[in-house]
Amino acid sequence: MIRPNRRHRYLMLGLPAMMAAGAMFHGTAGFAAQTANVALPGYTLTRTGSVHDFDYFAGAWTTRQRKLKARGVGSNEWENFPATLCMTPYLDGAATVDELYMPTKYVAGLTVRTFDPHTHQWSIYWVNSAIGKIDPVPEVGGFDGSRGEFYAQDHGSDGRPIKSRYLWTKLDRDHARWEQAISYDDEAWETNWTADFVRDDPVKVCENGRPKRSTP
Amino acid sequence: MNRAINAGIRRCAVLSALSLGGIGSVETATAATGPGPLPSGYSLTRTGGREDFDFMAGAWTTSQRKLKARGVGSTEWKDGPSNTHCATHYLDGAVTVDESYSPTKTVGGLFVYAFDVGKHQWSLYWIDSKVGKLDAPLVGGFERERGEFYGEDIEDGHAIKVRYSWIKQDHDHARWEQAYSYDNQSWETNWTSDFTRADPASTCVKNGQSKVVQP
Repeated sequence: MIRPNRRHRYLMLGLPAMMAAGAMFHGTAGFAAQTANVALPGYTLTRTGSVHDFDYFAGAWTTRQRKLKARGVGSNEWENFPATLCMTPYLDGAATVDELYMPTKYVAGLTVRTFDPHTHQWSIYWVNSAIGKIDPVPEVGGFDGSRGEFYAQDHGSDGRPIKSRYLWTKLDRDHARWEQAISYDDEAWETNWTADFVRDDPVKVCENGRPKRSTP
Repeated sequence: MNRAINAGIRRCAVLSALSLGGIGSVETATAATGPGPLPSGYSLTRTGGREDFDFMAGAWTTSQRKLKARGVGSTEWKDGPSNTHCATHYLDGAVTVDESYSPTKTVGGLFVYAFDVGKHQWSLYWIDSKVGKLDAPLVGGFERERGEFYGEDIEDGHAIKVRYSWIKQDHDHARWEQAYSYDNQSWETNWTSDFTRADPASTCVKNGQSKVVQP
């Protein structure tokens, strides 16, 4: 099933490299990889966290986004663009909603995070404003100290199985870093999107809980 | 309206998006319904407009009624708590997030409504604060004042069909109803909620933190 509405759906995957890797490691069925991956660093669907993991993230942020221009092909060319973000906690912090506004990209995105009090896991869902669908496969995980890791098993735009990872690093109260990586071969991660967050003034950046639509 | 509170939580109900109108049910991997009749109106292709939930923005109080016993032909109703709702638009109205609390604030949940721009269809998700996951959505939309949203669920181990009905009565009043079908033929309405618009300043503040609501 092809779900193009995740962040890592924006670009087509690098097909030749992927097909080679896919043939080598996945053989017949990609789903078999769920239990067979011992080599992919850090990957787990059982990492836990605390309901307070995203407390620090409430409020307004200005960000510097860096995105790999082409994915899965060994590219090292990046593009830079700004974005603002406003995050509101709900249900006493057990759910959060933030909107990311990328003025030069003419697009916004929504992130919904929910904390499962039984598994102590966060599930992170992404909605692209141009599509308006919640991707049914969330990134799951949590923070350990200042480092948050979240993983998912999903499919690329060509239907092949991939694994994806969000990394969060709390640097200090007013600075954080987010990274997205995808593995096409169950061996290595390719980081394809990073964002550096600096806390900002909600009055200046946000309106009704959303980033103001000002010019960059 | 917190239907999951006493409804049995929606569990792993996967929408059989391929079994449209009772045709092609072969591909319905999860539903126990199989080929055959569907309760009246049931559709997974009903569409709506992006502005369907514009009216929700702001604060609401509700007057709820719940069927005492479900699926047994009961006609005895009880009054539910007067929950509060605070709704906010995101992505220029393509997503509405509606936080609901019982009067004692002991029970809460989050409704997330997302408009699929390509399909012109709303997906209605419910997040129970005690579960912390997104369930399979109900899908549909408004035709003028009436919104209908359908999906599948499991109650006490049995596959059921679920319908939400929304009726916009005027600017300050709306009605929501939940109905289940146990036999794929008839609907039993088991929960209704009358919404009355409230003042966001007094309604949508909790823990001393001002809630974010549309004016």
